[in-house]
Amino acid sequence: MTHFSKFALLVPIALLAGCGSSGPPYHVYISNESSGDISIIDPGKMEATNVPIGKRARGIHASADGKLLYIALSGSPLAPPGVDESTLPPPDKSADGIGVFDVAQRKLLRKIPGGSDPEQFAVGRDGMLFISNEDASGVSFLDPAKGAIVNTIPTGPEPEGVTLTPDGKQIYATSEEDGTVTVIDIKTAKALKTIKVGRRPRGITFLPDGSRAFVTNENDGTLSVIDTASMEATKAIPLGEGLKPMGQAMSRDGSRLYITTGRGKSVVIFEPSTEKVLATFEVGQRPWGIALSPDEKLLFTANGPSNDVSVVDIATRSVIKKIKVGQRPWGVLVLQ
Amino acid sequence: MKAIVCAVALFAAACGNNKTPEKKAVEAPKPVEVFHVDPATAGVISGKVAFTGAKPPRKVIVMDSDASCEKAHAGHPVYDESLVVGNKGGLANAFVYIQKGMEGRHFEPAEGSVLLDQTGCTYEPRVLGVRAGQMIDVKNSDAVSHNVHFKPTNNYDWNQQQSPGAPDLEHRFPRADVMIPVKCNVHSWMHAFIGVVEHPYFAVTAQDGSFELKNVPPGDYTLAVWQEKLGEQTQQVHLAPSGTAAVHFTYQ
Repeated sequence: MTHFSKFALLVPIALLAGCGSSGPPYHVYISNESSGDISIIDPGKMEATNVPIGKRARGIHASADGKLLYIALSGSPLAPPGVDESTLPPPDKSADGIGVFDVAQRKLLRKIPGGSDPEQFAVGRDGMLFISNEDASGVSFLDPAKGAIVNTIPTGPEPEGVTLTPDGKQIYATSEEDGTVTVIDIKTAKALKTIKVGRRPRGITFLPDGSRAFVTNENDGTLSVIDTASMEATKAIPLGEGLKPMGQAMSRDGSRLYITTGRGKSVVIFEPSTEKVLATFEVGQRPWGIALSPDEKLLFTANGPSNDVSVVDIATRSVIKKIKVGQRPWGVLVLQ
Repeated sequence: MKAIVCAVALFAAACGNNKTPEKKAVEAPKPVEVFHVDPATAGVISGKVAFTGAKPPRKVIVMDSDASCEKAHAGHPVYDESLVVGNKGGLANAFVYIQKGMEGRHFEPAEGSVLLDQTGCTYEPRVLGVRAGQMIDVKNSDAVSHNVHFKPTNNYDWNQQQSPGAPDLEHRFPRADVMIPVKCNVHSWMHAFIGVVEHPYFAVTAQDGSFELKNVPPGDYTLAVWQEKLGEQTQQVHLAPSGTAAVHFTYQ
């Protein structure tokens, strides 16, 4: 590649990222499953800085005021391929918990107990954390101020995705094994209904008005649509041959839903109003976590096996940069 | 000026005082003393695990999400085996092992491997025991892809896709771990459990709930039984030289 062509590539990247003297007013946070850190991407420079956080970082969300990040940590590591496990340090259950990270100071403040091997969770309006707890086959309510689990609501075996409804009143949680979504009322801490969806449901996203929920079914390659008023699954939409739908990011106006597809290597652009797939394009190796930039011009996907994050220009549906991050990037969070 | 100071500092740091660092003596690892069981005094612990509660109705596994899995059974129902109770209350598929009393003894490594087969979209066997460090061969006898996922507590999470006809996958757990749940990431009904123990004294109960541990050195032990739905129980056992000890467990 010539210097000119490099420059030609960098100019649109800088423009898309809104690169100015102070850089764009947001950062992208990546949880890295295998390197004990999170990566913080400065979109102006399109570079990542890695900050130690704890073992096996996966689920990552911000507090309501955006000053803290909560990160699911686990001392149960993945076996690296081709490595004799007896040469590695043993698992450390004491490393399990929810890490509380100060955004301004860029450091871990503390770790609070979050059940065994926590992975996915949601943050409530009052700060309560709702964690899918595999040992308990349910969603645990964790009060971060008390550092204690105050409730656990059964959902079915192997709970996975947990999402707060837009009005903040309910939690939707998937059960991988049963292929269901359980609706939980936060105030009464009771399950309202369990809805059958597809095989191995992973994540849930809502339209901004909360009228419909979309559930990624990894093993069916489909997207289930739930009518939230009736709490019924109305249809399952095939997304494409060989795709394994995983993470989702919804545009603010609800006109587009972006879906990562794991081994399918692609992102699907789905139009909720017509419930149709608009486009599918390749972004990287096993993309899972996904998030939109605040101006909704860029998408960021975490590509686990290749240890990078793809930066996608939505207008051209092309990857404009791959940023090296930590090992096995998992979750993506954009924070202004 | 700053550059000069930095260069001097770097030079000093790089060169130091030119003294060769002293070599520390490295201790050779102590050889592990292998414990040999004296056949003249070894005994047998045997018994039965029973379930006296109401016999649960048999639950059919629905495999309609995968036509190949259904076809493998040619219309015959496949039953959930999470609680298998025999005619006389014997509890099958319970894992029995010496939990305490073998500490500090290092046994000869286990010979051979143990097979975990994926056949008819079920795991066979459902419950198995292995020694720490012993090889587990994971076979796919089916015409569909599986994704075996071990979910240990004291070992590393392990997750591998296996296509039809693919070579067996091999894996070993270096540390004791009772029990390790196994699931298939493709077929949600597929479950197995692996008990990993440091010593050779473990068994999976037969259809009538019976078990037998042979060639056990005399001593006082804690014997434990684990069942996936009913949990764990323990009993203290005294085994006299060349003796036999009968131990019965009952779940209600």
